[in-house]
Amino acid sequence: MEYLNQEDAILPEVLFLDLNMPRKNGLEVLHEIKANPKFDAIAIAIYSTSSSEEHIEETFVSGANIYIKKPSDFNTLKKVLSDVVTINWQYHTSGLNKDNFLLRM
Amino acid sequence: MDFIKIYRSPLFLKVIFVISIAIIFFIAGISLKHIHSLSNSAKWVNHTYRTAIELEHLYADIKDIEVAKRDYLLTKDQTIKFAINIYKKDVQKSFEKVKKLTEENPEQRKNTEILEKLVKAKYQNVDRAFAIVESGMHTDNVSDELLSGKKAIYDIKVHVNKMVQLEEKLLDIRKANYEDNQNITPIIIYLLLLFILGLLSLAYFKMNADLNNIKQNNDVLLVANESSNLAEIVGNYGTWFLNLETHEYTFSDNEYRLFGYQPNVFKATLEDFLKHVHPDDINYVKETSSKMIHQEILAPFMYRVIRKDGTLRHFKAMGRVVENKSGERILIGTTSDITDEITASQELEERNRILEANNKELQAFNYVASHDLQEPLRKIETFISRLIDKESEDISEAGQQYLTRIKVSAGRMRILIDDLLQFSRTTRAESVFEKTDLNMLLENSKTELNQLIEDTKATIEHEKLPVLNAIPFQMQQLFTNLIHNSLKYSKENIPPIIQIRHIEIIAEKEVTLNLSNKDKYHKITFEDNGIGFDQEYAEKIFALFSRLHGKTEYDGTGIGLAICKKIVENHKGHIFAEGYPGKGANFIIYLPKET
Repeated sequence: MEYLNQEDAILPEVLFLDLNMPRKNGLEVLHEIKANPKFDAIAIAIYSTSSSEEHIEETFVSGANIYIKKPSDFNTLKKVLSDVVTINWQYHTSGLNKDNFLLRM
Repeated sequence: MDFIKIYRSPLFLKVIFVISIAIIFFIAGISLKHIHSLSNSAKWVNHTYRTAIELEHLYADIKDIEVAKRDYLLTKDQTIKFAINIYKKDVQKSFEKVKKLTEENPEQRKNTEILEKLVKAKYQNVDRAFAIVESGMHTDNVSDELLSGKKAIYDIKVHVNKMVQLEEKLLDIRKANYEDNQNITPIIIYLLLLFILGLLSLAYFKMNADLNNIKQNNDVLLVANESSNLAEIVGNYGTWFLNLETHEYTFSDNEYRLFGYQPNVFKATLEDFLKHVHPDDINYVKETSSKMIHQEILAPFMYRVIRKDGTLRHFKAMGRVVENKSGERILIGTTSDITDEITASQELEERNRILEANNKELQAFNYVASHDLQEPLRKIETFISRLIDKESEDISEAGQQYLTRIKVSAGRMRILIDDLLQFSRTTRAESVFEKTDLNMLLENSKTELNQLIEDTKATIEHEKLPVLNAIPFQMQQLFTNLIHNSLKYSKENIPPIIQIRHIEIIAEKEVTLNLSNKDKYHKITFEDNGIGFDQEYAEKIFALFSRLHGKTEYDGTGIGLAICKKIVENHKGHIFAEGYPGKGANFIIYLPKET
């Protein structure tokens, strides 16, 4: 957050956000980002071990763009990352609904 | 019938009483009249005789006068004149008496007047005789005089006789009248007395019967009283009455005991009662009790009292206004000592609270543990996959084998954790029920298991499933688990066939349900052609971590069916399993049909 709030920060196109972090959890960060119009262009990918309905629901409602469950296999991880990076965000976000919010592998 | 009714009514005695009094008064009246007429008739007899005597007297005096006149005519003695005057006075006296006696009877009065005239005529006759004597004797005149004197006497005698006869006739009439009365009255009195006697005997029997009744009722009442006393002691409650007309209180024996006293040691009053109420509750009790008098009904309310020995007790009171037969309004109330119940319910509440807290803690622990356990496990798996992909050439064959084993174990652990997480999520039934199309959920489950279905070449047939109120993701989980279960325990080399059927049933007609109500249920059956199981494990397979097979034969955690059971229970349904070893298994779900 400190970096993002710097005047001259280069804003990322996609931001991977873990939910379980020290000090400030992912959901709080998500709310902060969404509260600031400066970050409107950033796509938020939730990247978490948890696959609980509540977390998925909450982050979806709070405005995240995609929910990725951390894979336990390295090859799958590579595939997921490449998929996410190559997603046409414009297209994905406009047709966003709860069913395609969770990235399926 | 009507007579019996009248006989039984309390009015009966009153009517008999009034009739009897009236008849007695009547008899008294008749007797009085009778006695009166008796004394009257005696008086009349007396009257008749006196009249007759007086008349005789009068006649005798007149006769004396006549005799004296004759004497005078013969002797010409002057003293005889004086004697005649004395006789006249006597006659006068007799006349007055007769007048008095006959003044009530007009006929007799007339007769008396006639008699008076006759007597006066007689006097003139006497006076004439005197004149003859004084004017010198003429024999002719004297004999004429004597004759006319005699005639006058005779007239008087006839008249007196007539009067006496009349009087006797009157007496006879009166006597006859009196005798008539005399004959009838005793018969009337006698009959009336008999009637009264009858009435009184009836009243006596009635009173006797009433007394017997009262005695019996009293006995019953005594027993009822005693039993209510006992009931009060056993039930730990007391009763009290407040007469709303006299404002007097009555406490039952046990009411005193509730306050720690022997029965009736003090007079029941509101003050004495309030003295024992806990100081914090006094205002509340006062308010409530003044309210109850106006509202006529006392809703149950609770308060605390301090007993004679200083112990604190919880009381519950309620009451109602009733009207007794005399029309007095009485507030009847009961007080029960609910200290034990309160203590017990407080303990129960406390235990419940602890249990709830424990449960919550356990769930949170389960959830957090399985959730937080995933992260390190994921790291282990990721790096094992890195090791196998990149470094396998540098590791000895034994080392590679170890790595594979580690990988399998880690995978298994992940499944376990996933399942546990799933289970704890179904337990925390916070999800909302919504209208759910089960057909759609089944399709979702099939999609979810697409790979496995293709691999096993399974066929899934299903009838049209209902739309009902359910938690969608749990229902889907249930279908997925059941289909997955059938696919997993399929026979080797035989493609599994799963048939899903639906029918609506009524609870009491379904033997497996073992319910005796008329509730309607959706019965959904999952039937497969897999390896089946022995019926004796039919219940055990739903227990958490229970497995019928070694993990080398079939993988799994023993949580899947436990989740199924949990889900069905969350939906207030029932799940049963039927196993046919070597032939297949049926899973039957009953879900309540909402009305």
